Amino acid sequence: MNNKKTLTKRFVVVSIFLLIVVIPFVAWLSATYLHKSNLTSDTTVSNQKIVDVINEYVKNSDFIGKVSLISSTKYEQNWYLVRVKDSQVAYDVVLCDFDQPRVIIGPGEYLTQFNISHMGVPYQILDALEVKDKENSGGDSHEHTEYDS
Amino acid sequence: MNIPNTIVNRYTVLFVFCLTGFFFWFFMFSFFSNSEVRKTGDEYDKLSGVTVSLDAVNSAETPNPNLPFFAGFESLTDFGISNDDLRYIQDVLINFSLYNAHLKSAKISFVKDSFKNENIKGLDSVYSFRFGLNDSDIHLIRVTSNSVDRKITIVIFDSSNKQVFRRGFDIYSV
Repeated sequence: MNNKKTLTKRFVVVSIFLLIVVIPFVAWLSATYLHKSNLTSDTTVSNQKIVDVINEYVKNSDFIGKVSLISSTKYEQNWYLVRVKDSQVAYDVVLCDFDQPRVIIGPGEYLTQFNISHMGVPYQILDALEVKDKENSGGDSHEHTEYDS
Repeated sequence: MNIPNTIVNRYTVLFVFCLTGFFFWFFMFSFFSNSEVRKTGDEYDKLSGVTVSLDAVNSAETPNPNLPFFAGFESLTDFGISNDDLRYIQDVLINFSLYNAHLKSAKISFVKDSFKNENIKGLDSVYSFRFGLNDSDIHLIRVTSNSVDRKITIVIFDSSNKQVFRRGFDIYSV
């Protein structure tokens, strides 16, 4: 009888400890881990989604028809430099993907430091564009860079 | 071995309570860690000595939610810095805070009384000042600006005076 009482007492103490200390702590650990993994998640937008977003952007354009993807390069913090072409011409497009993929510089829009400033476009994208500018125009560049950060 | 029913029952009840408790606390903790608590109202910035309206900062529409905000940089124009220079300086600081310091939504403060007109070499005017990231982490920035050739070079040094960033631009006016 006495032994049974002790067992019951122990059961109650262990249950209370579990419910008040262990379970909330485990739940907190799990929630924190989940939150951190969400914060650091580095998702990549599919090429199809990129093309869809750009085609939606140029839908009402008289100058550019439907585009298809040539290449897509992902940069830090979900920035993309995308090369697309319509039936005749190839274009560079800058996209970002924070809450959803969004075109920052559309096909055929003039790409300089000045019209993308204050949006946090990584300078590596400008450098990549500059190389392409040089390749396309024989060295005439929109900006000179001395980048060694 | 026969386990008495009362024991099976109380362990079942305990298990159900633990499971329910886990989900309850899990959703509570998830809710509070996901809800972003943004500061609002006015905040005094001790480095620049100006008051920043955080409501204005929060309401700024931008495709990039990680952009930093600036405190006290408007006083640079009082020292004769052109709006073009200021635009390029701020753009460099945005890139620096995001991709070199790896800070999201940082506060970049102009350090009061740190502006120095260093010298004029030919057509180049050289000036420097200090800025802080999130109220600390003070850096020196040195700007070489040429308003005739329309070129600007911006160099950032860390607290031990080591060059950590350098970039030059052709200036395009708005």
